[in-house]
Order: sequence, then structure tokens, then C-alpha cells
Amino acid sequence: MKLQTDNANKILALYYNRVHHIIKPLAETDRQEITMELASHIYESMARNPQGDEVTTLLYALEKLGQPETFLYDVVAERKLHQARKTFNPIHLASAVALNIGRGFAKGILFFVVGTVYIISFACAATALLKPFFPNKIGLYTNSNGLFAAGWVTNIAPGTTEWLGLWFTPVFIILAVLLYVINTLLLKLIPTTKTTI
Amino acid sequence: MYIALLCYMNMIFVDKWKSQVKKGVLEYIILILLHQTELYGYELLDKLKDTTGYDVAEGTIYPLLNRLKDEKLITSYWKEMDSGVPRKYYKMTDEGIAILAHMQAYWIELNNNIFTLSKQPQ
Repeated sequence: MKLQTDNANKILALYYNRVHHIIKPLAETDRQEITMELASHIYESMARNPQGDEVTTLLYALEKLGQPETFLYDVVAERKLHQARKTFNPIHLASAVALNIGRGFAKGILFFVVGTVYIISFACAATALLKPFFPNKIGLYTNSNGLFAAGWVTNIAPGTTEWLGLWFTPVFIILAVLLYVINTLLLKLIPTTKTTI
Repeated sequence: MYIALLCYMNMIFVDKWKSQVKKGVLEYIILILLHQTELYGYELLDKLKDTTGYDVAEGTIYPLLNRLKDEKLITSYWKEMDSGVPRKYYKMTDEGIAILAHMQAYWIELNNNIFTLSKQPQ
């Protein structure tokens, strides 16, 4: 959208910079859709509410629309969650969890739990892949003193048994995949409703 | 002085209650308006204000429309305009129409129940 005066174009460009900064985590199509819809809204608002000169009209329209950091936060958090749920992509999932963790106390706790399970899932995968390189440090250990440990263990006490050997790698890869898939499916059950007016 | 303060506090309570009611029924009203006709974002805000007196902070309508779209209750399409700035129109889906019927039935039931309750002797 091109306005007539330089000052109005500069103000609009600054507003769009803020918008682009907020919607940066989203897919290109989503970013384009949001930008086009905001341009449409600003155009309609300016056409219906002329305030004398163009700059004042634009400022009035932007003020009525609100701070993009406020009203776009929910859109970005929900669109990112939607993208993560659809793609199972770990980068989108991490971004979606980070964006949604600050959306209210109850939802924050749910996303904290989901985020923690993802970290455990990645830790399982990482230790599984490292097992062949550190066969005496990584494993599933128990002993008569009540030790039950999985993963990287230092200072292994005498009498400690490692149960899986090189089976640790396939078992923990399967465990990591299961945790990842189940957690992502559970993510779909978290409601996204939040209305602000 | 004390009575004036009490009245002021009551008004604050009523205002908060009104705000909560508005939040609760906003999605319902948007669905009713979109069931009547296809609307673009700014037009929807205008209708909302004209028909219900809701002066919604304009930007907040978009997260709501986005959510209704994710729930597949509404859908959208772009329409080219002579001005060169296209409009994004929203319209109801069949699923949205079905959900709206359930919401309307519940709204009527709730309204009747509250009306009956308020008419009962003290």
C-alpha cells in the first residue's frame, strides 16, 4: 500500500517493521496473509475516517487498530502452534511452545510440561546416538542400593549393573520417537481459546 | 460521600461484569453476523458496533477470526477491489452454521431460564 506523502509512508513503514518483527516466526504464506489483511484494514479505516491531512488520518487509523505487539501475539502463537501440529517439525514445535508458554498461567504450565517432555525426548535420542562412542558411560543402570539411572552416568559404583548394552541405542531411539509423537498428539488437545476485547 | 463511593464501586462491578459478558458472547455475535452476510474485517467491526454497540479494539478481531477459521466454522477468500487494495472476506462454513444453531438454541434456553428465575417471588 502506497500513500501520497513521504511522512505518511515513513510512519506506515515503521508500523510494518514492527509487524514484520512479530510475525517473523511464521511461514511465508501466513506472513503475507497477515500483512495484506492489515494493509486492507488500514486502507478501509483511512477511507472511512478522514482526519484532515493524510498523516493524521493514518495515525488515527493505526491508533484504532492497536499495538501490533499486543493483538498479533495471539495470532502468531496460534498460527505457529497450528503449523507445529501439522508438520511435527521440531523447530516449529520449539518455537510454538516458547510462544505459548506465556499465554496465561494454566496454559503456561501445560506448555511447560509439553516442553519438558520434548527435552526428555531429545535427551533420549542424543544419549542413544552417543552410546556406541561411550559404551561404559551411557546405559540403563541399577544396583542393590536402589540406583535406577538412564543416560550418562558418572562414578559408577561397584555392583552396578547395566542392562541394555548396545541395545540401549535402538531402545532409546524408539522411546524418543514415541515420546515425541505422543507429546505432539497431546499438543493438539490443548485448547487455544483466549478472547480479549 | 459513603453512598457516592458505594455507587462508584457498584458501577465498577457492573462494568467488569459487562466486559465479561461481552467476551463470552463476542464469537457468537460474529457468527450471527457472518451467517447473515459475508463480511471483511473492517466491515465486521462496523456491523458489530452498529448492531450491538460493541466498540471492540480493532486489532483484536483478527485473532478471533483466525481462531474461528482454525475451528473450521468460517472460511475466507480475497477479493480484488478497484482501489487496488484487496479485501479479505469471511463467510460461514456448513459446520459453522450447524454450530451456530446449537449456540442459538442454548442462548434461547439460557435466556428463558434467567427470565423465569428473575420473575420468581423473593
